[in-house]
Amino acid sequence: MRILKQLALIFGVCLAGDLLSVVIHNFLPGNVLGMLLMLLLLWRGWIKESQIQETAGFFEHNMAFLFLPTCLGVLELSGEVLAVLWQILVIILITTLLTVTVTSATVKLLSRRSGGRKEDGYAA
Amino acid sequence: MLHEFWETLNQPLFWLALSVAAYAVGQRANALAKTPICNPLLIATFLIAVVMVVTDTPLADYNVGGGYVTMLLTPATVSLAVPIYRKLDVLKKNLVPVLAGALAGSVTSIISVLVLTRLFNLPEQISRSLLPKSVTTPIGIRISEQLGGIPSLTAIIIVLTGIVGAILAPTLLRLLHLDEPVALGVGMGTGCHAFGTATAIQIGETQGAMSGLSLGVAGVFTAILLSILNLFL
Repeated sequence: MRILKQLALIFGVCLAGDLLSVVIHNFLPGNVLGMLLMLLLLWRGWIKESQIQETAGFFEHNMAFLFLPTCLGVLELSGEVLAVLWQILVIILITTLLTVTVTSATVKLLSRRSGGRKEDGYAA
Repeated sequence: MLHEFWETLNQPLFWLALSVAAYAVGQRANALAKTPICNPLLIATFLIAVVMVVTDTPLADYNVGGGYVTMLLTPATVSLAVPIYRKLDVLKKNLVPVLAGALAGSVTSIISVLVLTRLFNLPEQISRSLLPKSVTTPIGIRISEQLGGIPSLTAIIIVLTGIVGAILAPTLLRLLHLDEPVALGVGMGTGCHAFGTATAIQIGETQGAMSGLSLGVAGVFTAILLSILNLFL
């Protein structure tokens, strides 16, 4: 029953996120809103971590598995996609490395500016 | 007889059990090989795909049960709030660099995809599927849906992004002297989501924490940025 209650609580926040998404005309997807809402509820103490702990932990640790049916969509990739497969792979390679580099460079630059941050970074 | 057996087996419970088994095989292979290419999800996808092709099973049959698994992605995303909540103090301490880094990365990802997809003259639907490539899958496929992309294509692109990032990004950052713990962590989380985070955790505790955090922050930034962009596309 404890797990059922945890599931119901998490599902409830999911549904609230979806409803919120409708209210703001799908400006943000319901799952992102649900995540933000859950963060707010935890932060304000309206939901305690212990009230969702095991179930949230289950989802966190088994998240990758949940992507499997979505990935199987590869079986129905259209000829249109297969025709531009190498372009897609090149784009993935370039944009991923560029994104990581710009992100890390920005963090390094701002950490230097605010001074003494280096200590925080190396502390752990 | 054999045909009747198969008729009986071809139901959601069978495919779900087989999926878990395939994923377990993937995890075992990953533990043995210790290389990001041996990704459990990638291996499981390959194994199930082979079985489906051999048995001539349409995706719709698999998705009778698979649909429920996909449905669980939403509560899984909402559950990401828990690790972020636990690391709120780390976020507060490095608030400006983390937020600015995740924002800069999200903008870079979107702009570079826009430029390259135009350069290669890719079809519009495929270009849109590529836009959320750097965020974590449950957020990415929802964004893709919203933009009019192909969610299953986005899912595969996101996995490939994670593999490229997990293999190449740490070495690249080291060469560029950008591998300070916070910088590396935010870079991995923003650029290659959960895969990057898994790699960052192996490098160090701070790296892992910052990466896990940035994965959520960048997901929200990207969702907001692409929602705005969608008004103009």
